[in-house]
Amino acid sequence: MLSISKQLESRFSSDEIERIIASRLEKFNPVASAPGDLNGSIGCACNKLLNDDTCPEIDETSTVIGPDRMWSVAHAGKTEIYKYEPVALHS
Amino acid sequence: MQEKQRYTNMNLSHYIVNTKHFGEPVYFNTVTKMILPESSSQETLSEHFFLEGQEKLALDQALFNQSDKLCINVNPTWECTLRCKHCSVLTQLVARQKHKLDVTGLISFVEKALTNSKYTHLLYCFAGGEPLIEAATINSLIEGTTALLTEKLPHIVFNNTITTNATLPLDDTIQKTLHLMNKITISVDGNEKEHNEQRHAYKATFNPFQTTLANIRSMLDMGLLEKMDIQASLADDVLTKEYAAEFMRTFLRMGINKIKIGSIHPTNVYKKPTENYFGNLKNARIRPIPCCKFRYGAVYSTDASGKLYDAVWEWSRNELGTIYDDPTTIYKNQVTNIRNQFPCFKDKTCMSCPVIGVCWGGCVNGTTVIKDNPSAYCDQKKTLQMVTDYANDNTITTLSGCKIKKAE
Repeated sequence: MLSISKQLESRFSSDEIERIIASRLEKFNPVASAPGDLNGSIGCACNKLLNDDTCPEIDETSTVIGPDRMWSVAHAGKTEIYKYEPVALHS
Repeated sequence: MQEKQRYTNMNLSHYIVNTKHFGEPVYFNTVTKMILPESSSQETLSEHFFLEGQEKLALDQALFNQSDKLCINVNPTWECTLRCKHCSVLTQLVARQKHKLDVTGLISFVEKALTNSKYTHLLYCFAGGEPLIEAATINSLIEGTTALLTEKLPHIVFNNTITTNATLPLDDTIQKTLHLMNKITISVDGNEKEHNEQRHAYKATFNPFQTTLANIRSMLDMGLLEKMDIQASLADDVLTKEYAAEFMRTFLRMGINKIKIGSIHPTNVYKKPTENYFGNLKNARIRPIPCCKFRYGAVYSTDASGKLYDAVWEWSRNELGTIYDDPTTIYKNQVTNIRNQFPCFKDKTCMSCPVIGVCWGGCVNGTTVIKDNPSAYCDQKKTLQMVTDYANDNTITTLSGCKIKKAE
């Protein structure tokens, strides 16, 4: 039986790989960044240029425990009409 | 015709954007991220700092509102298997660390911080140094914290992440550590030649790139795919479309599609920003929350010294106390640090900027470039336009991190 890593080598076909790359490179600009810098890990993530999603705020790599969970806009106080909730942006 | 003059109502704070929500005209405070209907009374607008002259109050509310998420960046060791040219903590690294992280002390601090607090989430972000050198310590910390939460604070949601170079053999202890993580970020900074030029092996002779790739395959065999992402800092001279494509191809062929590519930021050793970094710094973007250093009650860093910091850059400016202090002392010192160091407070242009709340003066790792003058390194006009466009699209509230719905 093939190991998991061997099985994963066929997860994406060659055509799929090239489609994924082409899609991501459409947004590629070495001095441009998608809106928001929302990775919870320290390191160079705050300077991302190219992501695997359109926007880091829907970046599934940052949703597990990323900054969307570290959100500090939790002004949960109610007003006359609206209430406000922090939101996991990937949801 | 697209409405563009959204910031001219002189009775309102600088930080208010007119927009619509469910078709209803509303005011959106870009700093506090609150919305009020345009029909709100002066009293209500005043209560929530929507009026001219209340900008400072709004900033204080946004900056010093205690988070319900506590994140501690844990650097269990400053030893590392590599000596990377672009490492942001190069000056912190040691050949042999004298002290061990005080696991009991840190858990005790966490208990004090979480007990009778508004925190609902706890997150440890492990980095270093190479954190997996201290895998046993990490395991002990997570197990001890889990026991604490299970027994005394069962309502707290607990998560862990790690950033690793994945160069160490994945022995049983390290495998256990990796399984305990919710997210594993692996640093790979280019294709083999460039990665190895940037990421030198320390002492031992090995090929960093091939070693890391072999370990990535082992992690896949451990069933960790869903937790793994690849994070790259690429030098200007290699960051072309073709190069990025080849880089992504390597990992997509392994079945990994979470790949992040960034430029190299200035470090304590190499203070001059790279061109891509510099360009990126000036690029308009929506940054709805302040940089990690300025997230009151939310993000701290610690290491084996037992000291607590508010960020991982410029260590001498960042000390808040130790894990043996009462958390209230740490919070108090953090307020002082924010008031003294928040760059926007020293930049009049920022303070009067209508979009300060979706920018916050940028990232603290740009401090060596920005210093106390963030407005010199921004594209305010474009940021304003982005906010206006998002407001017109009714997406500004989503982008700024609020989910807003009618109260029941």
